[in-house]
Amino acid sequence: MEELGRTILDVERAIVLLLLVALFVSIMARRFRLPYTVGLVLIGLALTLFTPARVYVSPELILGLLVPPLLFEAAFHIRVDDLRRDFWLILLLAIPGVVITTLLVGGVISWGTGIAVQTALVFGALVAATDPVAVVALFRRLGAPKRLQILLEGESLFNDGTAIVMFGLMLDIVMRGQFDLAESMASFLRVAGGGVLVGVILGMLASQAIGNIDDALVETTITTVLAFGAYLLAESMHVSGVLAVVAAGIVNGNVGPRGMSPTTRIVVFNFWEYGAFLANSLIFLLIGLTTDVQTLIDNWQIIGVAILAVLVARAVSIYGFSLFGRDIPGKWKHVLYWGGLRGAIVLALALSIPEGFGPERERLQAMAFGVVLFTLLVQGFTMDKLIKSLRLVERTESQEEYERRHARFVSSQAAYNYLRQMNEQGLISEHIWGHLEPVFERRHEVLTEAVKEVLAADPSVEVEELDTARRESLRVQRAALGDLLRDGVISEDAYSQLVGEVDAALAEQHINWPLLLRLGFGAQASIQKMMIAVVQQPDLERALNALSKAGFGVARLPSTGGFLSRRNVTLLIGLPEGGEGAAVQALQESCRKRVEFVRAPIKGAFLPLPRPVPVTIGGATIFTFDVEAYYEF
Amino acid sequence: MSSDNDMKMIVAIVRDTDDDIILQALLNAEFRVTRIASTGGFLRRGNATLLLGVTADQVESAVQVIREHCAPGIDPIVKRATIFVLDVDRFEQI
Repeated sequence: MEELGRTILDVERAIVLLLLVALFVSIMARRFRLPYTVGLVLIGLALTLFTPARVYVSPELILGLLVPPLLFEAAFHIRVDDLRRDFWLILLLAIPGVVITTLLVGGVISWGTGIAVQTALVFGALVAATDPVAVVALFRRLGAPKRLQILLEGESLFNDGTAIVMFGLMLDIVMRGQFDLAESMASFLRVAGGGVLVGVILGMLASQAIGNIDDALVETTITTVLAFGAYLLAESMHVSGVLAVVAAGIVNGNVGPRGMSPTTRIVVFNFWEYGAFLANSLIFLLIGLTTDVQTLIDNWQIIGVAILAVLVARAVSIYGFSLFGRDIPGKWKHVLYWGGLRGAIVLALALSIPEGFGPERERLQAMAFGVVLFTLLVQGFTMDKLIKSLRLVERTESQEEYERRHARFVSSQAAYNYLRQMNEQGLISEHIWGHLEPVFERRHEVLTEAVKEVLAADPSVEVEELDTARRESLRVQRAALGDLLRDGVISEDAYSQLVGEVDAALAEQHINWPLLLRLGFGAQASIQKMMIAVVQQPDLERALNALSKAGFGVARLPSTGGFLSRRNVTLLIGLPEGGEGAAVQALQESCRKRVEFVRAPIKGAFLPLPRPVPVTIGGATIFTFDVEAYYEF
Repeated sequence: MSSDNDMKMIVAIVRDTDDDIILQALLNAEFRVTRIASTGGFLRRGNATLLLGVTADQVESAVQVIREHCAPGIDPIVKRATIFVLDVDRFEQI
């Protein structure tokens, strides 16, 4: 008992010291405007110079205590609506992507260094988990498109889970010494599926409990129990604890907050933000302590190969799978590629390799640290320049000016409301209020005019605000429907149909705001002609944007052709008086005819040798009809 | 030159959640309708396009049927139905 007490005190001492270091790092990071994970990895590197004693943290501790908070926090604040848009792409990147990364990295490492295949595969699996925290923070700061941020966050969340499961399998193969493909695949499916199931069930139970309780501390504890409990329960059932945590986090994060009051929501989110910060810090510092700088230097070549392998594998994964995504702009692919930073999870997995693994253990840890160092320092630091040079963020002058004026207006309004309330409550005398009120009113007028001025000059800035307002109002409607269902006012069927409508509305991407703003929301366009344009699938997104921008309403008819073959889409466009010219021009700009080379087998050759054949693609076929009458409602 | 028996083609683009209801209503009202499949899919929202061949005097009532059977959407912004009425040169039923 005494032993245990002393050991716990030692551990406490160690943790407090580590946290002190983390504290120092965060302050420095904030000063230098660095993402704090970069600061942590540098301190970790510095710590490798010391390694006071052989620090050994048990794998169970790492996976059971430090990893769940990281995953739960990420899963908790991701919104399912946002994931929907690119759901399949995210899933492709996360699951097949991880498998391919494992095999590629494992293969390259095994071929490029002397390391045995099984061992290399263990590394391949653990290094597949991405951690874009640093990059996402940058996105937010620069105002990069939200969709890009969601892609990276969603991919990271799911690939963390998959990587951990793969890692477990590969580790098992090495420890047991035998490999059976069918058994491994069956194992993977069982472990993964089981984990998700456990997580979803527990997540729903927790959300129920949260809905029925209104006490911030209790509700926070429920989430804590959920995060760690899901892991422990799933592991005891021999299914994936991590996937259980991820699933529980997603369910609880999307269903749970509805049952929380706004204050509780803030408390819970803050708690998990802090929890993740603690876990992140401890993991980074631990790897610094457990890795010897000598090992890093000795293995620099292998680390180099590892870095190369990771870069190649990511290229294959991103550029390959994004072909299946819904029209991802080329620039985004580059950002997605370079944004595949590795972080805490990779280190945690490396730290969790058991002692029984053999001498390669330290090597793998050094390799993991090397890769993480590279991604955080090189990719993390250069991301800023990449985004700017790709001109990804097109924040026009007028958008920034609008934001400033709008912010002044809103904050002035808040101050006015506050003071008015003080007056009503009698905390500010009538006399004083009499002086203050006209000052505020005048300011209000000036600021309203200022905002109007910017909007008149460039109406496009309103669009983002309108879009957000619409989305929020739809979410509120969804929440209200949930309440109606819970109170028994509507049936399950009615609920699912109506919620389906809301979700479909949230998924709608092509709202022609400029047209709506120009016409006014209630009015009907006077359409004189109908244009039918048959365009190629790859040009679709551009064509829709161009037509929207020009103020035309467009409807889409389904495409022909099958998987991967060139598809047509037929567009129906309503043209107001004299609109033909603009519509044709919009189509011309977006559907340029171009020549591509397609591989066709040479006739009569012995082997099917491909010979590139120039094929004209793009272009559009346009019919215009007179319209007798037009209705819309 | 156009008489009341001139044929018109109505191209109606409706939401895929409404199209079964509207289709049924139009059939009940004895209109001949062809549906071009919707563009939606799993997790995606789509449109369905309906083609009707009607005589000039029937246009009004066909539009009315569609209007009545479009569920008032939960989304105030997106249109529930877009209808084009086109003049038809020649109409054959073989």
